[in-house]
Amino acid sequence: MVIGLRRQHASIGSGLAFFLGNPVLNPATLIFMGFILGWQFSAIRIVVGVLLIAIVVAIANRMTNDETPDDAPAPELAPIEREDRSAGTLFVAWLRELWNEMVAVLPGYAIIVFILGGLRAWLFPPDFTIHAAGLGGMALVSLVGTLFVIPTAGEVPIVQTLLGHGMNVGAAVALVITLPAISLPSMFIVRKAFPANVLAMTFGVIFAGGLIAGTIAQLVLH
Amino acid sequence: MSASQQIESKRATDSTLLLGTLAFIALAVVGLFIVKWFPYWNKAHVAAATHAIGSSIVSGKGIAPPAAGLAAAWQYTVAYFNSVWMAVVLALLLGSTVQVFVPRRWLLRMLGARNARSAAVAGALSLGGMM
Repeated sequence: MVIGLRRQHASIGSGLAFFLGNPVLNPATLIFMGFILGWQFSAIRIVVGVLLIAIVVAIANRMTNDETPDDAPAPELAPIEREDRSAGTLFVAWLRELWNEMVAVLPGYAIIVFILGGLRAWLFPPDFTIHAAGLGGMALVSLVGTLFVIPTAGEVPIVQTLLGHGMNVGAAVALVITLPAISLPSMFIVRKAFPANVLAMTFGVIFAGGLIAGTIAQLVLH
Repeated sequence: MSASQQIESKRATDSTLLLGTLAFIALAVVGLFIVKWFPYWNKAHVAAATHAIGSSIVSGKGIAPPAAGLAAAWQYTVAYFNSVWMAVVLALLLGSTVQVFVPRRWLLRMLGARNARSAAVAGALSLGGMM
């Protein structure tokens, strides 16, 4: 969907807001989280999430400021806007876009999920998740959370299980922020929709957001 | 072509564009209802009643993930795509539909600006995606 929006010339900031808002501010996940982990987790995720998205969008728009819209080639028309369109040409264009997306997204997506799934034992060793503390521990948890991929709302039972076994609140907050926001596969999927430096910046902001929010939560809520 | 004919053809064009955009919106609403909104409505009640929505996809009921290797990789891939495949299919359909059936200048007007307003609109729209 993000690829489609960007191909339709939605701005980089809009594309990023959609890309990040979708998982981070997912209302359903926030409700599950409230019932299961506690409403303070949902509140932290909304506040930190909105803040991180605003930061990412602001930096991205600034980073790409020099490419003024005037320099950019005039956007070509979407197939439905063309004079010579017909039901046939639209259907063919639609099939072609669908096929292109499938080829560009699915094989790499599946391979990265496969690799990350196989390495779970190294990414989430109990000793490290349960006893993550201090800046170093928080940084490692945030890094894993930013890289790893989970289904929608998957972070809720993951964090529930870890909290049940004694993980500290700070590390839990770091995971609640970073796990859903982005992942290696999600960055792979949008690799052509955003410039590489914008994606690297997004990675850095989400990672730092998890680290800082986790550290503050640990100090305040422990 | 007379002036009135030009106006006629202009109107026809606009109505086709509107139809295309409505088709996209209909696909999004129906698809998201089936894949996301309705199942999540039920899941929210489960979460409220039982304070759980299943076990951790990383490590099951315990905290130790399975040993690194192909078995763990395959098991995770199956569990993950079992959970997300319908959303992936819907996202691919919506991604190609928005490119072909929604007029670029309408989308530009809404999401094209490099400013906070465009980003806020995009962020607000993304809430319905629940992906």
